[in-house]
Amino acid sequence: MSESLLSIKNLSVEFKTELGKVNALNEVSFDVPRNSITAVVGESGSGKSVTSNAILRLLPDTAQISGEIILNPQGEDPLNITSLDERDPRMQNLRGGLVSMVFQEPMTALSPVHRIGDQVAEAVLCHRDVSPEVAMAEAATMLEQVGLTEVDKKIRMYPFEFSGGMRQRVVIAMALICHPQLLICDEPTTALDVTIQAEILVLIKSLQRKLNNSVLFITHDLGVVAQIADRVVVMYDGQVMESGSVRQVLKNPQHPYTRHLLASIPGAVTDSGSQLHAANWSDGAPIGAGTFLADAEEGRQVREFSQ
Amino acid sequence: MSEILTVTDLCKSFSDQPVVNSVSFGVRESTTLGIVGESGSGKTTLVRSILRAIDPDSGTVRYNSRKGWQDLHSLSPKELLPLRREIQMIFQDPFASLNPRMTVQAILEEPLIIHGIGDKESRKQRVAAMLEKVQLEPSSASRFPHAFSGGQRQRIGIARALILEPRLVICDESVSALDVSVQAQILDLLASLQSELGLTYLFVAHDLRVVREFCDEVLVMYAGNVVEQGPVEEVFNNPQHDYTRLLLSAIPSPDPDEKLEPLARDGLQLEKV
Amino acid sequence: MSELRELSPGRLAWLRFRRHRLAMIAAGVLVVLYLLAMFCEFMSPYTPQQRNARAINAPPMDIRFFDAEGQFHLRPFVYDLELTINPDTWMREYEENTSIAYPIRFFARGEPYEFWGLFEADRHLFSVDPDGSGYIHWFGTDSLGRDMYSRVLYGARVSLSIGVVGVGLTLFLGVLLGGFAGYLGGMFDSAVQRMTEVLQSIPTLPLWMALSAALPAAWSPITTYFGVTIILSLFGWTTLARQVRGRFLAMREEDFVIAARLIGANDTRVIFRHMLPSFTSHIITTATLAVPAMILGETALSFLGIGLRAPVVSWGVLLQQAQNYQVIVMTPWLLLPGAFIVITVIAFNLLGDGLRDAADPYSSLREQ
Repeated sequence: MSESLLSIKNLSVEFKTELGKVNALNEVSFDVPRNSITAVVGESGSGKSVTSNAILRLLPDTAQISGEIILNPQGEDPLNITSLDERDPRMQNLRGGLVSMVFQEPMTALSPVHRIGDQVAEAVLCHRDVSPEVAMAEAATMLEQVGLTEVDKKIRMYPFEFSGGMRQRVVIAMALICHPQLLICDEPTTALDVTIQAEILVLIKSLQRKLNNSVLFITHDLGVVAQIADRVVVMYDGQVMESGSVRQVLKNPQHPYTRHLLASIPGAVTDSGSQLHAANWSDGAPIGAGTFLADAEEGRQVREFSQ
Repeated sequence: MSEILTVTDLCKSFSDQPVVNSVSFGVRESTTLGIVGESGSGKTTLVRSILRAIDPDSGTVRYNSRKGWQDLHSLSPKELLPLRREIQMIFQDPFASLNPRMTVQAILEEPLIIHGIGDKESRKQRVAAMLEKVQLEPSSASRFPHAFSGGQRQRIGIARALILEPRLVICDESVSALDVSVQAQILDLLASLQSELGLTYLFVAHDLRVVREFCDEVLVMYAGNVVEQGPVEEVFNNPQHDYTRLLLSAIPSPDPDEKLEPLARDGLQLEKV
Repeated sequence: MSELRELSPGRLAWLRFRRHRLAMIAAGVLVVLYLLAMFCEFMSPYTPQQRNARAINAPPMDIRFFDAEGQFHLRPFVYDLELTINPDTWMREYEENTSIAYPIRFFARGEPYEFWGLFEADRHLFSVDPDGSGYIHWFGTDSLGRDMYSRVLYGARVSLSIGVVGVGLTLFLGVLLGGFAGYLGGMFDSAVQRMTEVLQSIPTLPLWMALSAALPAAWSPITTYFGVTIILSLFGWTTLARQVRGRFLAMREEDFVIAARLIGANDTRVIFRHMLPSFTSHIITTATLAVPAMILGETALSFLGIGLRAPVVSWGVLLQQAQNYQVIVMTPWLLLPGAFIVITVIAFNLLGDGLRDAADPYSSLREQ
């Protein structure tokens, strides 16, 4: 099989708002090859989260989607996600089965009132017909794989007893337990301290090598991209600026925006030319693009704001 | 260069849990001192007690004002008011730190009104001059904060902090909520304002790359203690403490050839601090 | 998008409010009701105490454009009612007498009244022949032959205003006590908190009854009115005080409030310039949602005969007449004030919902 696990072709997404349409994605095309980590990098409003939400069909009803998202799972027929009906039985198989997701905030992804072990086992029971004992055993193995020690004690603990880094490990275990062929990580380390971030990055990379799946890694940090990804897609304002292998893009960036991003990293060697780019590139950007996006995003912001 | 701030043996506990444990340091005028540490290291508590938003349990914070040295914690609110002009703060969240119901003009004018500076006309001119300094359009004055992007709002926050012509500016994670390219612009702006106005910065951050680029000296905090301090290049190139080494090893380099190999936390003797 | 960014906070709130169709309709209904109540002397054809001996317990009269022969008249009219006594049941029964029609005249002279106690007038929005021969009761009449429509409008003045005045008083108490509790903290805070808990744990109805019973019967209607309002607000402020206190505590930690403190703003300035404006919208919402409770409270008290008493006309007083099943069977139009109460309460609740959503114009504008 030579084709990629996921290929996105001419994907455009528009949101209807009270003051007209907002173009969130504009003819985005890229591939996620098998057995590799592909990073999507961009600043807020670049459309990277909209892309990942479109793959899982998590966009709100106000979104108008055109283009194709083709998933080529191993041992199954190819699937065009954009044309799939919401009630199609393959949707259930897609979400959490073939594709699963790790979010930025590990605390909100875990239920505070259930034990860790039960939550991970729950994911097994949702997708496969096994006994609770088998599910629990699998959960314990998976938690061991994500680097938790003394697992038999920890599966009986609650999320609040865990540190942020440990919680994110549990979330990763939940995402991986059904052996998804594609794991989407949406800024999984942004909320974490730098030392914890490093541990999680090393973990995601080693698990990918071990499980031979593909990872789509959304981030805004080129340092993270360099350390984790095999391939990278640079996005800006809903468009793909540049894509290619990490080495090729970061060592020899072709697009001025990529060069600008690299120059913006603190401590990067800057010449006066890149400073000029800095002035050209960002403040004029349509920064509001992130505003009316996914309901989940809005909901989170509303929650943050109202108390 | 003389010192502008000295902190001696500052301690603060919350419900018997020491959060800041006997911290001492000094800041020299017109330099930037970075304070780094992870969440829970006590850096926010430390900064808030310098600003007298929190009362420390013990220790002193002495500030060298235009009228000489003063112990900040022995001053009454009335005596503190003139010092508020000299010590200002730039916040982390550019959304939460501006009152959404005030125009930029009103936000920037308020400090001047409180301190009784100028009349309506001269205040307007000062606001316009300040906006120019932070590279915002003069027409920004009549708009509300929600009309601006994150980076622009942070510029407004900087303008508010600087309009009283302070000498010491505390930046509490002031660039960590911003996109990396906007971050670079704001750091450039802060640096040029420092050289123009002779400002002293106390720069709290968790991103070591930013600290390395922006600060002259650095204070590494871990669990309420200062584990290492000194000139940035010295500390970063030749870290003495295990925790500093751990922090440095965790920075992801944008060069794919420099492999990320974080030190194992368990292998370090961090409990001894 | 860029257009949205230029708007002031007030405009933004209005934009969001306008999207709420039900709330817009509710606002319209309330405006009409309050206008009717404000100008009830002019809007109603009769005064509330005026009796029509020829129409006792008369049913609502139909306003017609077509006469019995099917001919169209531009000027609407009503037919005279003919009273017959049913020989079997001795009940009064009314039938339309199609030979006598009373055309409706607009801005006609009628019963003189004193408008807001300012000047004498005798113009009414509509009326039938002013010489006294005709009559119009399109909501029917009560057992004394008084026009229900006029009485509902006069009642609206009392019932609707008691809601607003009561909530005003509630707001005053709630914001003052809640604000001080949140700001001062310590002893005062504890005292207010305990008081709130005690007041909230007492069942309201018996307490209202006890206090109302204590109002001297000799008080004039206007004094009683204020007495009842004060009783209602005395127990209404607790919820609001809690909310205000909670928001004060939360807002003290907001970055922009700390920022104001750091530039040297004193307490008064921080409270009035930064904290209060940030939750006026929430206070308005809470107040809107509290008005129906006030109206219902007044209605309940008056219905039980311990609130306002005749000759004061309020919706609760009017409903007192509808306390037995006989009324429901024989003269169901006496329940019309109840329909007005239902409409008002629903309208206030819908309006409150719309305001709550519009209250925070920034909730969807934050970017990240």
